[in-house]
Formats: sequence, structure tokens, C-alpha cells
Amino acid sequence: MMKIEFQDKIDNYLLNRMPENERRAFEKEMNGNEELQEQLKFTKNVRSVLESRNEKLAKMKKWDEDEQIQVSGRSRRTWGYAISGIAAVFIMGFFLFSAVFDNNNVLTGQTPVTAPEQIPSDDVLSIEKNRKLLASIEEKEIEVLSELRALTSRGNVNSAGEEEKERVSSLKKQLEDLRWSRVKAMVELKDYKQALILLEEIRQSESSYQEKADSLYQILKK
Amino acid sequence: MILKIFNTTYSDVALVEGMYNHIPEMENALYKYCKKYFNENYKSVLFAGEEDKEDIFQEAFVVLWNNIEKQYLYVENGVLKGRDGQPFAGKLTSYFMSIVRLKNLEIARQNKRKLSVENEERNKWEEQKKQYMDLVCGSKEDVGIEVIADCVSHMSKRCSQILTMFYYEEKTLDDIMAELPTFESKNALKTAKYKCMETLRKSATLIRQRLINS
Repeated sequence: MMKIEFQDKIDNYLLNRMPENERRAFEKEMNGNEELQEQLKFTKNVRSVLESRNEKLAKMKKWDEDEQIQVSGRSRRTWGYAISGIAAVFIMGFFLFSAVFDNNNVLTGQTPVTAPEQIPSDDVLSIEKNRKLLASIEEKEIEVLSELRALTSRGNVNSAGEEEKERVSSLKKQLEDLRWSRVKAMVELKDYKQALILLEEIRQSESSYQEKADSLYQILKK
Repeated sequence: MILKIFNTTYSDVALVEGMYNHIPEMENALYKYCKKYFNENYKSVLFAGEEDKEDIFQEAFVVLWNNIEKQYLYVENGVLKGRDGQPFAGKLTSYFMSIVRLKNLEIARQNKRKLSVENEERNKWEEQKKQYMDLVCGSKEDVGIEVIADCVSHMSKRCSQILTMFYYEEKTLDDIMAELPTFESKNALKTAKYKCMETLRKSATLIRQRLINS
């Protein structure tokens, strides 16, 4: 039979909660008391068992938690791979679709020239706006022409500096673009007579718009 | 039986040896090995009830672990041997499931469930005693601490909580009272603790006497 009064002393002794003098007194008391010794031994065994058991249970709990983390991590990774794969398929499909059905210049490399009613223009402008546009194009054309004449009137362009040559080349390109824009504006305004005159000039020159001008000229002539 | 975990192969010998040498990877591997086998086969073994499944597995694994630590199962010259020093005849999983059956029987009795006629036959003390001696205790000489360990595993949750907090976590009675507010005074807690220890002692003494005197 265990004694409750012994248990307090035993607990304090085992858990090192006893001052040194009390420990010595308790050990002396134990020497002559078999019952006390038995109870001490039993308490020690219980403590040892609890220690061993709880350490094992704690490890087992940790392993289960780690397993849960791994399983949820694997699950998240699986979802991640699946979503990435689907996204990759969509992205590739998008680019493929765009490439195949792009009707600008990916496959043919050409901008189609169509009849006047079908000449593409970036904005749908009213007649008034087109007139204003035409006026501004003509104004700009005069500016560019003046600068070009000023540069070329200095003498032989071939003997001019690199910078000047580049500038002349750039102005000539600008002039070509402006004349073509003027053609388009005239067509928008249905001023085909003036457009034909300008187109004749362009197709006779060495402009980059020569071919287009020739095509449009043939269409308008009809 | 060979176990593959994370593409690594472990034999029964490696698992027991690793467990004995406290190698963390092997401890984990054996745990997963037993858990996997248990989950695949418990239905043919358990009759205590599905709700006790986790408790049974935990208690059984603790017993297996203890047995390896006490070298009731051990490795010598690369051979797995049993308590009798002879090469271990069976598989580690079969040994583990024997422990599971024993624990199942104990828990079913504890819960006072109605057993089938077949199970009542298996309940006879003589047969259980043999299993108990084989699986839980090494020999009659060192029955004491093993029986205590077994009785601790069957303690009520309340007693388990109090004794764990006092002896394992080394908390004072004041600390325990703070965490278990159902105790109105320190004396009440002290009395409860004493009663848990007394119950434990009585159970262990009874089992020990029956084993030794048989």
C-alpha cells in the first residue's frame, strides 16, 4: 500500500526539489524502510516509463505532421504543374492562332492595294477634317521641300558631310510619305482628278511608293 | 520484406538495427512501414472498433519500439533474431500485427464491448498470457517495468495527463492547476495524482503476480 505522505517526499527527491540536508535525511530514512524503498522504486519506474513513452509519442506525432505537410505539398505541386501545363497550352495556342490568322503581312509580306472605296485609313474623317488634313500635308510638304532645296542648292551633295547627306535622304523620304498621304487624302475627298495627277508624278519618279502608285493609278483610271 | 521509402530500400534487418541505434531516418522509416501495413490490414485484425484504430496503432508501435530497445528483437551478424536468440522466423510486420491484436483485445475489454464467441475463446487468460509474455515482457525476471509500461498505456486520459505533466514535463502542482482548472485546490490535485499512481500500482502488481505465479 502506497502512502500519500511518502509520495510528496519521493516526488521532491526524484525531481530534485529537495535541499541537500533534506535529501540526506530522506536517504537515511529510506535505508531502514522497505515500504518507502518500494514506493520510490515504483515512482522511478513510472517516471522512466512516462519519459520513454512521451518521447516516442512526440516523435510519432512529428512524423505524422511532416507526412501531412509532404502530402499537401505534393498536392499543391501537382496542382501547380497542372495549371502551368494548361496555361502553357493556352499561350502556345494563342500565338499559333494569331500567327495563322494574322491578315496583315505575316504570310504574304504585302499590304494589299484596293479600290478607292476600300483604301484603308486609320480614322474615318469627315470631309472637313480631310480638307484640313490635306492642307496640313501640303504645308508640311512645302516646308520639307524648302529645306531640301536649301540643302541641295549649296552645291554637289556628294561632297557634303555625312550628317548633311543623311538629312537630305531623310527629307526625301519624308517628302515621299507626305505625297502619298496627300494622294490618300485626295481619294478620301473623292478628288480623283488631282489624285491621278499626283499619282502620275509618283509612278514616274524613283519613289518607294512607285509600285503602289502605279496600281492605284490603274484602278482610278478605270 | 523490403520497404521502399523515397526510392530507398530498407530490409527488416536494417530497420531494426537503425531503430536500435536511434537513427532518425530509420525510426521514421519503420514508423511509416508499420503504419502503411497496419492501414492495409487492420480490418482483418481489429474488432475493438474503428474509433480505437489510431490508439491501437500508437500503443502497438510504442511496444514494438520498446521491444527493439530492449533487444527482444535484435540484429546479430546481419541476422534478425528473437528473444530466444534464434533467427527470427517471421516478418517484422507479422510480429507487429501480433502486438496490434493484443492491444486490440485489451482495449476491447477496457471498453467492455461485446465479443463474438470466437473472440471470447481468444480471450482466455492462458493464451493472452503467453502473448503478453512474448510480446510485452522479456522474461519473468524483468516483468516489472514492462508491466508498468503496459498499464500506463491503459490509464485514463485524466491520469495520463496529470502524471505526464508532473513527472515528464516536471510541472509543479501550481502549474498543473493553472492548466487544469477543474481542480479547485492543490490538495484535490495531489489526491487525484496519488489515486492515479495507486491504481497504476495495483494493476501492475496484479498482472505481475499472475504472470510470475502461473
